[in-house]
Amino acid sequence: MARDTKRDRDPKKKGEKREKRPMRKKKCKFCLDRVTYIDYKDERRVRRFMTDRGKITPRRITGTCAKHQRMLAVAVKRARLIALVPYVREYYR
Amino acid sequence: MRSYECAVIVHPAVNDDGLRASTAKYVEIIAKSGGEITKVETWGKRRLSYEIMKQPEGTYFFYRFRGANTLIDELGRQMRIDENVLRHLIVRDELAEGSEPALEPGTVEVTMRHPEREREEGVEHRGERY
Repeated sequence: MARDTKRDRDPKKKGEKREKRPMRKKKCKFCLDRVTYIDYKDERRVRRFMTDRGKITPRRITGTCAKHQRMLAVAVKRARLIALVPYVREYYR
Repeated sequence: MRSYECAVIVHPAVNDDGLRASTAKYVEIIAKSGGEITKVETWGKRRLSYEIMKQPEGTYFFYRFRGANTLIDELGRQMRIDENVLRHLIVRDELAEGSEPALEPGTVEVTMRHPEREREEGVEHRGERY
């Protein structure tokens, strides 16, 4: 169990759960701006929620709420269709 | 009657006359099928994110109009036939209020927009601050 060696070295933490890091809850950026519709033509904004590979970044990374993530997904897919953003971008090897 | 928006990517080899003919054609199709055009917009020639039919760029047009659902079928059909149309997308226009004045089919003007340049000049989109 190579993974546990680090925890075992610290006697205080033995048997305890891993120390919880206080996580600040991320706020949905669309909610803050009271967005009711995400436009697929707004390339800059749509791109901000995509990885450089062209994937849609998950909610757990961006903190987007479920409602706005659904709207975002639609916008990204439309933007892909009219070639404003890529479906995939391959890295050069 | 519902409000729609149609995005069209026209082949980059089409010249200005061809583009004018193309918009006139689709404006007429919309008008003939009982639709009302509220706005026609172009972004000019732009680089595509990926090649479509071996073309690295294309001219973008956006038609905003009101019409019946049969109009959407007809417009989409015509665009699929048109070899100069690389790609088209018809979606419901969520931002339309349905009360925009309808334009006369014969005198529809195409407004030129540069989203990138507008952003540099500080015409910020709503909520654009992250």
